[in-house]
Amino acid sequence: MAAAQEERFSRVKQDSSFPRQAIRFCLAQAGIAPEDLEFVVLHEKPLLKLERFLTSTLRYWPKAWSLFQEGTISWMKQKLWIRAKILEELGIARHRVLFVEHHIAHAASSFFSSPFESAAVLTVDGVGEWATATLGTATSSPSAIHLSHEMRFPDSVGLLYSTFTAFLGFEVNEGEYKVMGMAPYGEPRYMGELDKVAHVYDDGSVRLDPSFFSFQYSSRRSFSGRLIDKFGAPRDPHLEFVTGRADTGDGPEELKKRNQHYADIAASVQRFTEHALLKMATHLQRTTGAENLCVAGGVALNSVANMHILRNSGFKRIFIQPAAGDAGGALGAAQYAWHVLLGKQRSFVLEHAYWGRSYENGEIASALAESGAEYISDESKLIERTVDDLMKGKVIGWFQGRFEWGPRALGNRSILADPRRNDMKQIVNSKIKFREPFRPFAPVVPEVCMSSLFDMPADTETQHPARFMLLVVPWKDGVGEQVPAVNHLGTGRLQGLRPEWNPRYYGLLETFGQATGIPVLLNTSFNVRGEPIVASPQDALRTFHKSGLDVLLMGNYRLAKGSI
Amino acid sequence: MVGCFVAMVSDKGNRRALAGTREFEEWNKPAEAGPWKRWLAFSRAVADYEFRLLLVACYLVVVAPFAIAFRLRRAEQAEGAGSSAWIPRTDSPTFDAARRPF
Repeated sequence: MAAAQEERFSRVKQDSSFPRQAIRFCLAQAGIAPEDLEFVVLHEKPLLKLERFLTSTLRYWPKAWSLFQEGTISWMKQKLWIRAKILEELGIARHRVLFVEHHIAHAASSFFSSPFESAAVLTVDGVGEWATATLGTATSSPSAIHLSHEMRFPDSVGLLYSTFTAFLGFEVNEGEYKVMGMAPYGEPRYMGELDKVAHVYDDGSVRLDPSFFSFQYSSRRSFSGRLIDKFGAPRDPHLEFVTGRADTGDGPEELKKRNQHYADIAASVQRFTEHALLKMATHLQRTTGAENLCVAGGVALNSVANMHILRNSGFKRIFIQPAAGDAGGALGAAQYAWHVLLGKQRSFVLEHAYWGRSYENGEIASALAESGAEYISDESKLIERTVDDLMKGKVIGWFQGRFEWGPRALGNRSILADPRRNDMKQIVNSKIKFREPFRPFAPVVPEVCMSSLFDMPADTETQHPARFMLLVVPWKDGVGEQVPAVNHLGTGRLQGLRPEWNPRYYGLLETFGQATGIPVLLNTSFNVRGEPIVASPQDALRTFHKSGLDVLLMGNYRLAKGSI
Repeated sequence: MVGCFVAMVSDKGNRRALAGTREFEEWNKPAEAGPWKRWLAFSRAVADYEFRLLLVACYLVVVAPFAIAFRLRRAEQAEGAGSSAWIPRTDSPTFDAARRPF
């Protein structure tokens, strides 16, 4: 199996162009040509999206001008001709192109990748064709996805979150993590105000008051003047984030006060989202009686909300595949066609996320030619040397095997560092990733140690989202203090690792644990601000040179800054 | 409109590139900025401007009556607040349905 996002190859973040290079990689990995494909399945129904665009234009005319202008150009240039584009690019017959509804593709991507024979299904994102969230069930025998209810545009938890992402000065579809990271610095003091902006019913469904938003009719701004009247001026994207908390640095009182206000808004939106998702999941559990839950859609990447669902909704187990956002729709569309339309039996569980392209030592060697890199053939020496580097406070670019599927780096395209150092968060944020100082880093731990380090049950089968860094959990008393660089105000968005998923990465973690007494490493994605995660050795080398990384480990090659 | 035509004609050659082929790689190499390329870039900009003018006219003349009719009809079917935003839905898991882009 192969899965990859176009952005990894094109180096354009959130690349929305036709995924030529990703398709080429997947075909090459399978050793087949386009004409060998039985079907090509798109993860949405484009004409239903067009219907939404036209309806919004008519409904909000004349203020829908920017939506109409940008939308018409976009539809005329690309979206309307998507089937023709697929036929042209791949040279396949017209009847081999299928379309699956956006939320069905989301649901399928989660259920058919899960280990469950049957499950309840919850999908939540910004918007698909019309649906913004769905509830339903899925079974293996027969293979079926039945989505019984949906919430419709413009009522959307995802769009509410995105609107506040923009309000807080971050980029939509990119900065939602930053809102989640900012939230713990604030108090949810604006829940009363938010309740006027959006109402959550007992069954978790949400009704937005459209007068606070402009995403329905504008392609340029997602909130209206009324939202500004209620919450004050939007945050300047360049405003330095300094609050009263020590780990955000120091600054003038006025600046701290302003930032505290924005942090409080972030905390309120995060709390609102957690409440809505928990109510949705609880309602779904009560109505289906299911023990297993599959979640998908961009909102499923909200790892704090996932913890609340897992602990409080009544479900025993939840599964979220690592590319839970729109990128994962391609996986779900293919799985839906294979299992539901073609009736093929299930035999696959997505145990890990390493489905991207790998590069052999030969390819790495040619990228590193004349760089002075050292080849280390002995596995234990390579591990010991890297642990030694980590313990000396060096920051490592770790490039191994196939790159990850989804937005998280899970140990094959990662930046690794010693989390015990107080200053490591600041070093990696400012000198290596060039990003905001409040952004947290995630810990990776052996799965068998999760319950001794974190406040969570010992049965790891019930903690599936931790495999893909999709669960934020409180540290156990006294543990978080030992690893301050990955302790985000008492919590950590952990990755639990088993040796069979990634032996070298696990070996490094285990050896570091033996050397230091705490088997925890800081793991963050191997990229700098504004760039996709590295894919090739050339990308890694470029990032190594332009960032403050100290050592680069690519396959069996070690390159240190001092050796150049 | 001349710009529009030139832009369309110039783009035609790029439409048959099959992913993974040598032709595709060749066609996707950055082109040198000669006079012809500069003319094409200029005509594309003109075409874009003309198209936006056309859109303004369309928005004011063609879309307006439909929008007014739509809003009048919608006013008659005013929605109540209700006690839930969930709407029942049905799916059709068949090949015929999957072949339709709607």
